[in-house]
Amino acid sequence: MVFFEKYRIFENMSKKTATFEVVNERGFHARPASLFVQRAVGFTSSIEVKNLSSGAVADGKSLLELLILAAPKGTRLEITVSGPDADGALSTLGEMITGGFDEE
Amino acid sequence: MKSETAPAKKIRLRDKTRKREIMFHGIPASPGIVYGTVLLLQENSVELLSGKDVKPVSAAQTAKEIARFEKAAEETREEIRNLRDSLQASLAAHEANIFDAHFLIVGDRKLADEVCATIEKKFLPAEYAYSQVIQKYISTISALSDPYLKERVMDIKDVASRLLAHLQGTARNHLDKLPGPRIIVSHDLSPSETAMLDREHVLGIATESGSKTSHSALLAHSLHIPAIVGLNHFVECLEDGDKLILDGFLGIALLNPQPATIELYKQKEKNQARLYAELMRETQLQSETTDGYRIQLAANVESADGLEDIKRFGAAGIGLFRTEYLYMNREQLPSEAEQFEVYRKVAEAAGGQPVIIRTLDLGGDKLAKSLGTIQEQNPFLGLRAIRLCLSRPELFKTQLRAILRAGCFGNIKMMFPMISSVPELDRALALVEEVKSELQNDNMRFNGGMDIGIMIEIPSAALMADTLAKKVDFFSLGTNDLVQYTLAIDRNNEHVARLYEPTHPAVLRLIADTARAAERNGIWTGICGEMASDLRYIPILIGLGVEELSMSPIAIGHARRLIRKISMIDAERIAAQALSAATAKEALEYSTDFLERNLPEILAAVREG
Repeated sequence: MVFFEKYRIFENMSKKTATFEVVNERGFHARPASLFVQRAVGFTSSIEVKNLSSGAVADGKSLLELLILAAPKGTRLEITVSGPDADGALSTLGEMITGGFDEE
Repeated sequence: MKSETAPAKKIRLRDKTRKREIMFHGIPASPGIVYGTVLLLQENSVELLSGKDVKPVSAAQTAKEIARFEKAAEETREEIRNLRDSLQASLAAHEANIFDAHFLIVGDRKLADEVCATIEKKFLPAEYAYSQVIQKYISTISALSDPYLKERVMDIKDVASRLLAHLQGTARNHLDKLPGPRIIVSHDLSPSETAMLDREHVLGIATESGSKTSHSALLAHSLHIPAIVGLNHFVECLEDGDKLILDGFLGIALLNPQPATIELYKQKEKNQARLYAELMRETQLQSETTDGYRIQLAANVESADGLEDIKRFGAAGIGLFRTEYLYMNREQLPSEAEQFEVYRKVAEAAGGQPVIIRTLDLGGDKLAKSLGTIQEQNPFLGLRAIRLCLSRPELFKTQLRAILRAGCFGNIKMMFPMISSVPELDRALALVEEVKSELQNDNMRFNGGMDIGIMIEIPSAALMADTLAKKVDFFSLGTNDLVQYTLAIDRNNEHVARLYEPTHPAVLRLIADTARAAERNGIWTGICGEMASDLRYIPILIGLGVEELSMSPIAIGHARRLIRKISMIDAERIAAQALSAATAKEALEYSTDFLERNLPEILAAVREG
């Protein structure tokens, strides 16, 4: 119980949130989602992605859930990251979205 | 389990054809006539299962179901990884990305968590729980408006069918356990499916693709059941449980046969039975030409199950004992002890007659689980047979030990498949010597003087026969591969299969060269390919100097009749004419013309059954 409490505190302390806009033409479809998951699973932090237009929430490490988010170009995604490597995760994943997943 | 949404086209066709008798023409691949119930194998994609009629598992069983699911997911990941690695070279980068997505779908932890939760809460077997969860995702994504995302449903279905296949032990429709006597109908049967077929209950085999020499045809031959291949637009017209007549003599399949037709075929079957009874009375007769040349008629045997046929059909021993089945459809390689028991049993069953054991001929299209999946661009030109064995000496030596030891219990000879050069043979022979001295050190009994032969099935080996003959005790022509490699024809490719011509003069010249080289060096030549059992080819083959014909046991009776009615002088003349022919057709005609003129009853017997 004590450990659990400590953990909660730790988690709260490292919880980060930021919002990014989907800029690539085809939106957050399968290939971007795959790339996103491949990077996301490399972090220990938990990652949550929220589609601010529809309110749908997905686990950032689950391709299937991300696909269901259905975020076309212009959608604003809120990413919430909690864990020891939250800072790195948030900036890496955020850059992927705003960079348009290197699609031409 | 039937799919819930059968394609509309299929339903229409089905309604139109219901109850009406329809005839389909294909290529006869194994003789015989049978009337029975169809077991239809669906296209290779596994259907999602609906959980309505499933029995729940006990609470204690749920942990096991979860473990099964996790194992299947791991195997699927491995399979996709291998697929991706093997296709890497031939696919553009963005195409290879598909597999990355597939990989993520199998490994999706949300999905995995949900499947486990479904098993625990609903007490569903793993395949049903997985189907239910995946169906939810498919429905949700199908409902999205984004066309790019909708396309992903195909990927999810693809992954799901792979995983379900693993969950069900890759046995499509549990081929190893048929619900009763059935005629197997499928677009195609893979070698591993063929190998696992429930031999007790399979009545016949009918496939859309494939050729006379595909694995399912070979199996049908050895089981003495009819088989037809190359049946166009067949699978779409029938369904599980339909009644069907297969006429493996003429390559005719009759769907929904009317009572009169059934009666007709019963009569045909009777005639056929009478002929076989006649042939069976002749099993003790010598297979000698009218001028006294003895031709050995031996049996090709697929596994230790077929041993009683050697005596029943009067075979002069086993000209080809295949050992592949020992390695297929299992997780672990067969031990020396296990192999030794099989080989000893075979040697004893042959009662002193020769038994030629061919060392492992896997690779190519016959992938074995126990060897790990090897993905190759061009498996028929790849790591097959002796090449595989030389690259895995420990695996090879285990088999060599078992064969040499079993040699003390009968007349066993050993044969290496797919030799293509002299150094390859030298290396294999050196390993045999190594094994012999190891056995000596281990104080094991073995046959140190065992005859060793090689298959001649690659043109390079036929051309080098003179040199190779000095190092071995016999040759056995593997004509299926020899034709295929000489003519650059894939016998299983329906687009070019008609160019697979065993009497192509180039093939006949290689056979003649091989037999002559053997004779010069005092060793004998046999044939263990399909050619050996085809009556039209036999005059040419024995005329070229082949002394042993090894075939599926059921064909021996016909071959014996023919040989007893032809003289070697005639055979040699036919062979010489065939050798000088310009085309395969012309070469064959020298033989068929002779048979029509002199022995019409023999050709008729085979044609009409």
